[in-house]
Amino acid sequence: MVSHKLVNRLMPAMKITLWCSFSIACIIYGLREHAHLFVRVQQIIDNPSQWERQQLRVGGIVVEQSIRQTSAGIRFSVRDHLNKDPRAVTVHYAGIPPALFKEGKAMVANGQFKKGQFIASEILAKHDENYQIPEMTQHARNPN
Amino acid sequence: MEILGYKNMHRTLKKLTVLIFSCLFVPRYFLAWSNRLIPALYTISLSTIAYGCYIGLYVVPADVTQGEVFRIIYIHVPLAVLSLLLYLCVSICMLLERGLHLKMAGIYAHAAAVVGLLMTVLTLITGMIWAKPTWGVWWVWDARLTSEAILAVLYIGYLIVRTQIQPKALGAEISAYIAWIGTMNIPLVHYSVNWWFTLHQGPSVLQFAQPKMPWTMLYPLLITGFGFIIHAGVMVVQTARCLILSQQNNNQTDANETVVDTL
Repeated sequence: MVSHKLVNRLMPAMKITLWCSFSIACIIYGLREHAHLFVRVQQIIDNPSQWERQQLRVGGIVVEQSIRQTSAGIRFSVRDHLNKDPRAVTVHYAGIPPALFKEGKAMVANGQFKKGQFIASEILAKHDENYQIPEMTQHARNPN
Repeated sequence: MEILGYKNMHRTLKKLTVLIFSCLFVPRYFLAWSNRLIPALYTISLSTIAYGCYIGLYVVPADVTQGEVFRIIYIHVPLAVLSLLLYLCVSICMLLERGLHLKMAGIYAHAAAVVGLLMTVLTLITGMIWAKPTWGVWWVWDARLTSEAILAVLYIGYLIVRTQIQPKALGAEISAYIAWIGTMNIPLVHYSVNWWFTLHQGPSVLQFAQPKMPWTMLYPLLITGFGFIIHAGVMVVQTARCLILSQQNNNQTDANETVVDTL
């Protein structure tokens, strides 16, 4: 019986493989809360003191009509990207944001949280998985 | 049933199985058919890719938010899918090699790893070219990008162990463990964007729900995807050819040397 031979031949190797895979899976499971690229706005609003004066990345959606030019650069508010919670975090950034950084779009800011405001040293635009051709947006503007 | 030749059906099926098996796993037959088919398959794959890229570059309108940069999706996504698929091929072939002692399966695994490494590196490069104008950085250590980089390291490790460790049998055995243990990285790459918050976007095409892009944008991707799958297959066949021929060449030199020694 071929399959019986196959099982006998592969059994020791499979045991080693499964134990190694199990241990690596445990490591990845232990990393699950630390492998996020950024912190949600919700987490910061829920517990602001926890994140005070730490280097961290905040990810969220730029609130519509919140980008303001200031003397030091730009200022805008970011809300959570998973729920419709209107509470937002104010972000200050001295520099030029990437081209895809727009109101209503997602972004990730790298920096520090100081006295209830986020001082960003780097801003990344996050593109979502939706692709659109120009006709579709026109259709969305005038549905008839 | 008599008319359909039902009595001989099982014999025909058996013959067919033997034919396919020997074409894949007997080096002499493999060399013969691959020699004939490689030019034709290269023509098909390259023309399909060229046609898909033409539509993607000139016919499809630019994306509303990303602009022209989005067109790199037509090579980035097929390469990324292939980098994952080829790793699965490597581990399945190693299973056949270690379990059934099929030498040709080991050669296929080696060839698939070479092509897979190429695909992974090209995925990373095209992704970086897209990321700079879109996100604003070349590289971020988020879960998707890191796991894809780990995939490249796994391919490199597999190839180094397979080719460099002496004796060859030991190298083949250790490389099998690398292939099997590394397989758990494949779901990690695919689901990393769902499990963690990443800068890389979620899946637009490979998901159970409706694709997140209109059909006009999607169909060139399917064309280039089909072309790249055939292309990767031919590249694996050609690399396997090279490996078999170089092995035969080495054996011949070894045989000559033994003759010289005995003389």
